[in-house]
Amino acid sequence: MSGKQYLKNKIPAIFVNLMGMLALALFLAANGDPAQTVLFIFIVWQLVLTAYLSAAYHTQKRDLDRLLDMTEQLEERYLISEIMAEPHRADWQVFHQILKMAERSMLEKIGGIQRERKEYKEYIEQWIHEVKTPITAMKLLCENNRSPFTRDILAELENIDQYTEQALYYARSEHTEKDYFVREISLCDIVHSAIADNKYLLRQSSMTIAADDLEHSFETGTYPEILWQWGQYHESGQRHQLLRCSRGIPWHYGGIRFREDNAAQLHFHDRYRERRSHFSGGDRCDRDQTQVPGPVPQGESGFYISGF
Amino acid sequence: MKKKILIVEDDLTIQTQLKTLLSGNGYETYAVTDFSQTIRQVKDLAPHLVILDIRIPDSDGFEICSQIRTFSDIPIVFVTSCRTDMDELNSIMLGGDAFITKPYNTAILLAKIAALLRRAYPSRQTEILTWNGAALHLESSMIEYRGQTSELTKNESKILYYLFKNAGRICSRNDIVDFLWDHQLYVDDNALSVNMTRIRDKLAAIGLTDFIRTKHRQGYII
Repeated sequence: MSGKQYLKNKIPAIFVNLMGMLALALFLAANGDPAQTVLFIFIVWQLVLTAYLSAAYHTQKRDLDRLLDMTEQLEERYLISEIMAEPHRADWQVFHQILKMAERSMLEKIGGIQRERKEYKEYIEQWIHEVKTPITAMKLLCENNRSPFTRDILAELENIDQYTEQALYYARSEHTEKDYFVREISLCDIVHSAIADNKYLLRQSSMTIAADDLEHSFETGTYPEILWQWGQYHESGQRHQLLRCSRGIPWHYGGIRFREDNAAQLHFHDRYRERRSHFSGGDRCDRDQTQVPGPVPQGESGFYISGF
Repeated sequence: MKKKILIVEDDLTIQTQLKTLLSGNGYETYAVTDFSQTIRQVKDLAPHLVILDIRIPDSDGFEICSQIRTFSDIPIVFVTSCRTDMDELNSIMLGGDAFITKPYNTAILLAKIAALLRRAYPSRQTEILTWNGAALHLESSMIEYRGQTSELTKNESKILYYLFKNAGRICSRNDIVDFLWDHQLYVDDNALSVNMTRIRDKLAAIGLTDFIRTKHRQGYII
C-alpha cells in the first residue's frame, strides 16, 4: 500500500475537513475575530489532521505488510485466514469472514480432487496388476510355441509390458513414502534383466550389445530400480531405436551400448523423472551430471546409463 | 531323477503353460486344483520346489508359505503380478526363496528354479552330455571323442549344449540365438556363423567331421 494510494482513499475525509475549516474561518471572521486567530486555528487543525492521517497510514501499512509477509511464507496460502489474528475493525471482520468461507470451500474442493485422484490411481494400479495376468499367459503361450510369428508377438508383448510398467510407475510416483526397502543391487543383474526384458525388441532391431564393466553394485530403495523405456523416432530419414532408463545410476558404474548399423550419432539423456524420484541411496554426487558421459562414437546409437 | 515342482496358480492358462515350460526343461510338474487342499497336496507329493502365486482363491500365498515352513524347507518361489516392496518383504520374512513378478521372463524363471534346486539339493554328479560317441563336458567346457579332447569357449560350449539337448532335432538359428541371449551371451547372427565355423573346425580336429549338419533355411542338427 503506497502513501499516494492511501491519500487518494482519504480524499472524502480530507475534503470534509477542509470544508469544516472553511466554515469555521467564515464563522470566526463574521464574529470579528482577528485574522491571526483564524490562521492559528487553521494551522493547528491541519497539523492534527496530518498527524492523524500519518499515524493511521503507518499503523495500517505495518499490519498489512505483516499479513502479506505471512501469506508469502505460507506454503498453502489459502489457509491465511486460519493463522491471521482476528481483526478488530468491523469492515476487516467481514473480510475475515469472507476469507474463512472461501478457505472452507477451497479445502472441500481440494479434498474432493485428492480423493478422486487417489481412487483413480488405485484403480490404475489394480488394473495394471490384473492386465499382467493375461500378458503372462500370452508370453508363456508364445515362449512354448516359438516361431517367427510368436517372436513378433513377444516383441509387442514386451512393448505392452513396458507401457504397463510406465503407467504403474507414474501411478506410484507420489507415494515415495512407501519407498523404504533399501537394498544393494548389482548393476550386472539390472543390465542383464533389462536386456532379457527387451530381448525380442532388441533382436527384432538387429542390435548388437556390448555390456562391459558391470561388476559394481550400489544401494537403492526405489521401485522400480530402473524404468526401461523402449522408443523409436525418426530423424533425417533414419529410424533410431533406443532403450532408455529414467532412473539414476552413477554413470561411472559402466554402461551398455546398443549399436545399430548406419545410425546417426545420438546423444540421449533423460532427466525427466529423476528429480522427483527421491532416489534413496547410492552415490549422489553425480546426480547433477547433465551431459552424456564421454563422446558417443559415430555410427552408434543407443542408450547410456548415465549419472544424475 | 527328475525334480518335482508343484505349481500353485489359479489362472488355468498360466498353470498349463508353466507345466509345459517346466516339463520341457526336464522337470516333473504338478498343479494344485483345489486350493483349500494345497497343504495336503504339498505333504502328499513332497515336491522339490513350489511355485506359489500370492493371490489365490480361498487363501493367499503368504499364508500357505508360512504353513509349509512349519514342516518343510523346500524352496518356494513366489510369483505375483503385484510388485510392491511390502509383498517382497513379506515373502522374504515368511521364508520365500525367490520373488518373481508377472509377466515372467521364462529364462530368468528357469535360471532361478535351477539355482534354487542346485542349492537345496547339491549333487556331486558332473553333467556330461553324449551323442554319437561325442561327450560334452559342461564343467570343464570340453568336447571329447575317442579319447581326443578339444577346449571350448563359453559361446561354443553353450551352442553345443543346446544342440546336444536337442539332438536329432533341427535347431533354428533363431532358437540358438534366443538360447544364448537367455544365458547372457549377446551373440548376433554373424557371430553365430563365426562360432559355428570354429566349432566345426574344433570338432574336425578331434575326428568329428560332419557332426553338425546344416539344414538349408532351417537350422542345424546333430
